Amino acid sequence: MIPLPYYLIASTALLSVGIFGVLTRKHVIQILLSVELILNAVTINFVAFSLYIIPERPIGQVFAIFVITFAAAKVGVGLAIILAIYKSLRTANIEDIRLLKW
Amino acid sequence: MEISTVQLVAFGIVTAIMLISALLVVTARNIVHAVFFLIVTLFCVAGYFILLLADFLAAVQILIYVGAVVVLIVFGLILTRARVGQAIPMEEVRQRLWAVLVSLVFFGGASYALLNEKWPVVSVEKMEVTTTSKIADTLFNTYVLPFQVTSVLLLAGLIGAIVLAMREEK
Repeated sequence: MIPLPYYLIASTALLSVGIFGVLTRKHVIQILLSVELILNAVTINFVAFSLYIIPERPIGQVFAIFVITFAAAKVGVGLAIILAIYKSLRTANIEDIRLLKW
Repeated sequence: MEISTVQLVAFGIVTAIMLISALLVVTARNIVHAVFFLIVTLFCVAGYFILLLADFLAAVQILIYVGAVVVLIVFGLILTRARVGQAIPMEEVRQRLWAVLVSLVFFGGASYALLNEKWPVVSVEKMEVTTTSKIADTLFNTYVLPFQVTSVLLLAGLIGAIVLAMREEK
């Protein structure tokens, strides 16, 4: 078997890439894509811990299913918010959305 | 713990494709390309699940993420009339530098912490493919309350999405 830290380092790398995307991208949908990367990194960790630490009970996999459900709900609500913003502001660029910015 | 070469090669290939396509997701100038690279990344995560003996989750990953979430994002792209096929404006270089710094510092710190932790890993003989019935047993016996809460979350998300998207324009 592949040692557990390999999976942990790979998922940390994926998470870092996602953080980079959230910090640099300007379009709201691309930020949503970066958040998907972060959630996937978390899921990899859950499944890896599930196999390597308690293989007799797939608790980590059950939590991974919860994370995937959460991601689906998040994308639905997120896109609805983006659509509402687009309707009123005619833009999806994060720089132009500053109604709450002092 | 002995490392099988086949698994290691598969792990290396999947990791390389996953990280390269993840980098392309966050650097692509065209949003539609970014979405397609996200599909590649999600398939690679499904490959990880297969390597981790979680076949049910690999199927769920492809069905829900690639099948539903990505399609939803593409619909969002169409509805916001994103400049499909056109490049989006460049970010400032300074912001990009800070973002690289932050993510590298995070990666370094987290890897250092993860590598220095002594994980209570069980022996290889105990590891076996997690069958779907085992997952169902855990989900519907131990975690039946969180499961119900998740369904309420999905319902709330559904209603919220409809209310937000159907709001009348003034």
